[in-house]
Amino acid sequence: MEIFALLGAGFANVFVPANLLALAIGTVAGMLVAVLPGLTLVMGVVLALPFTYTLGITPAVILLTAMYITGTYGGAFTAILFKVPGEPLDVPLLWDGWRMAQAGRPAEALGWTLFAAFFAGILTVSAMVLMAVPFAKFALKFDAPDYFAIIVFGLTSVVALGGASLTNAFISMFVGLFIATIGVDETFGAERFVFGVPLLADGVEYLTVMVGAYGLGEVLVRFEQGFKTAPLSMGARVQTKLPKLIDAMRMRATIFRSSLIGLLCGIIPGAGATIASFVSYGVERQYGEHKGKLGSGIPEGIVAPQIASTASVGGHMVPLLVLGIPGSGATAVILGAFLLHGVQPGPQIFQTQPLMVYTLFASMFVAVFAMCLLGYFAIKPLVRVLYFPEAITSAYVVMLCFIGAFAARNNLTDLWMVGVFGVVGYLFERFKFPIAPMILGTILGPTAERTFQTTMISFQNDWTIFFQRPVSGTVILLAAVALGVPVFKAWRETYIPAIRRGRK
Amino acid sequence: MDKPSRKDTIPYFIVLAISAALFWHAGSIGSMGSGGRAIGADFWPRLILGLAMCVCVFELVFRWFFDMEGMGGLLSQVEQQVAGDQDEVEDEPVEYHLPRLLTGIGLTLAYVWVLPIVGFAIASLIFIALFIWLGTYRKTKVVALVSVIGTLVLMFLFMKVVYVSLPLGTGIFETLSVKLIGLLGIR
Repeated sequence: MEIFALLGAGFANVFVPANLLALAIGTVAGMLVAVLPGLTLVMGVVLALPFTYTLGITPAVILLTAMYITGTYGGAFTAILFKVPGEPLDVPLLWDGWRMAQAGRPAEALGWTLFAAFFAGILTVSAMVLMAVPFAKFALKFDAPDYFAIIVFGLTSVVALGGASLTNAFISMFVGLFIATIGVDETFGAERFVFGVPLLADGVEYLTVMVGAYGLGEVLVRFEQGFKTAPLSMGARVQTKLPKLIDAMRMRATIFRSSLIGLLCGIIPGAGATIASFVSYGVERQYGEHKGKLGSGIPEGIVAPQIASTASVGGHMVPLLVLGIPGSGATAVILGAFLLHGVQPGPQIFQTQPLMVYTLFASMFVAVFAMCLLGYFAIKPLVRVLYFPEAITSAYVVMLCFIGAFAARNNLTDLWMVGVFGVVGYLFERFKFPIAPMILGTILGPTAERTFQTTMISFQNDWTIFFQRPVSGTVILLAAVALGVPVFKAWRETYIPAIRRGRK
Repeated sequence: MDKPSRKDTIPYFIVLAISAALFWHAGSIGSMGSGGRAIGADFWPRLILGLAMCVCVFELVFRWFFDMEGMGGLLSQVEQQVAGDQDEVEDEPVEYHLPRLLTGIGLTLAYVWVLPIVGFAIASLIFIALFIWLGTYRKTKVVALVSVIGTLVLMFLFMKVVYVSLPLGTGIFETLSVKLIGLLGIR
């Protein structure tokens, strides 16, 4: 009952002008970011961060979260109408959504997307509200070894799930963890890897790594290619026709499967909306009632990826709020907003700042409605941003990267860091090293080291303690399984035959 | 799995060499654990660098001796499998243009360098115009308009609304910046 009372107070607080304005801006900005092909959702959330510095914690987090949830929906329009996926997570929408549009039914395709986004949005926020408090109560019992194990699980699952190459993902993660060690060590007060450079003495702010690698790095990739975008293949005939309830009911198995996949992919760090979208489409092709027709422009091919990608958002927010551990780039930025306002997410936040947490939950419900209303009524002017020259958009992305990094500490040397990590981000993209593990390594590195050192000091350097405690032992086992399965699969199917071939 | 070229191993050699150098350097980190037995400040970075070296060696061995690339993540395999069966999405060949890239990097670093000297207004105006122009958009009037208006909007937004103290420059540039922010009604 207490949850509902707090949620009611949260809803009342959402309609305070400052919060409502933040929500409106976040919803529109999320749509725009998702529509523009050169601007990814994470990059958009990163660029919005400096605008939240002078806001209170509640409107700041509302704005970024609204962008995050809306961003999983906006790109569907350009994927279906123009065959331009605004985000990687929208790629599966090309296969049935765009085909349905090509068959003369674009309004129907957009209607199914809207239905899926609305359903998944409400579901994911409800699940988040119900899961967060029991999870937080449980997390209050966690100690340093448990936190360390959870971080290890987070990092290994990012590596094991997301990377196209496990080695590259590992290297990216180690680079991130190494960056986090630069500066003065928290436990012993020793300077590490400073090399007499004053710039490095304070350590490397993860925001500069993020802004540089995600923002500047991606712009440099597009800049090198001369900002070539695919020509728009269809006129802007933008209308939405909502599906009938009975048609939606016929799809309940697809809806159930996709919702479950989305929520699970959200909870697992590193899986995220893109993976959820692809996996859901893949599962639908394996087990769906109309699996043979998938890819020919049927509603199941639209509903499955859209539900899964939107449903993943709530799953990602739970570990962020309950443990202070972000599982994706966007939630890492939201964590940054919390920290910049002096609030450390974790199980205590539900006791110390309940109104703020429940206002955030309530704002996500309102954001789902706002996103769908925007999608239904105002998408026509929004998709016109596609005609805006990318060179101009990118110039402003770079400007916002620099201003954002500078504004965090009013420190000009941070701009050099952004420049350096922009080049690092470019090199990572160019040589197919994923950026997300590096970012998560940079963010989680200090906590990982602190919890590790605390454990070692508390338990007289007995590293077996991680396996003796029920929570840390179970989580370490899960991390081993998460990493072991793809390694074992690749080893058995590819490496052993190669070694045998080599012997011959 | 495609056979990788030897050239593709260069990034792993570079990471291996840098990790080894840093691993060696970590030995000079002071403040070891008490009594020489406890874990000191160098332990954590050495652990990370050691693991990074192991991963690089693993990759290099398989690329050099077995002509194989590294293994992919579990769900990325599913992703590729799902995407691979669709004929609708083709990867267009990517064109790399090193001189343009180097110009872009040079321009960006030059912006960071001149920013404290000439101030935000002048540096940003020139940067935006050049970036758009070098980014192959060549409508001169639009470029001029976008860079002037954009710079003024950013200044107003960040200095007046978000209260960020953007650099004003030094000497004559500072005088110019102060006059400009006066005209914009920021101070």
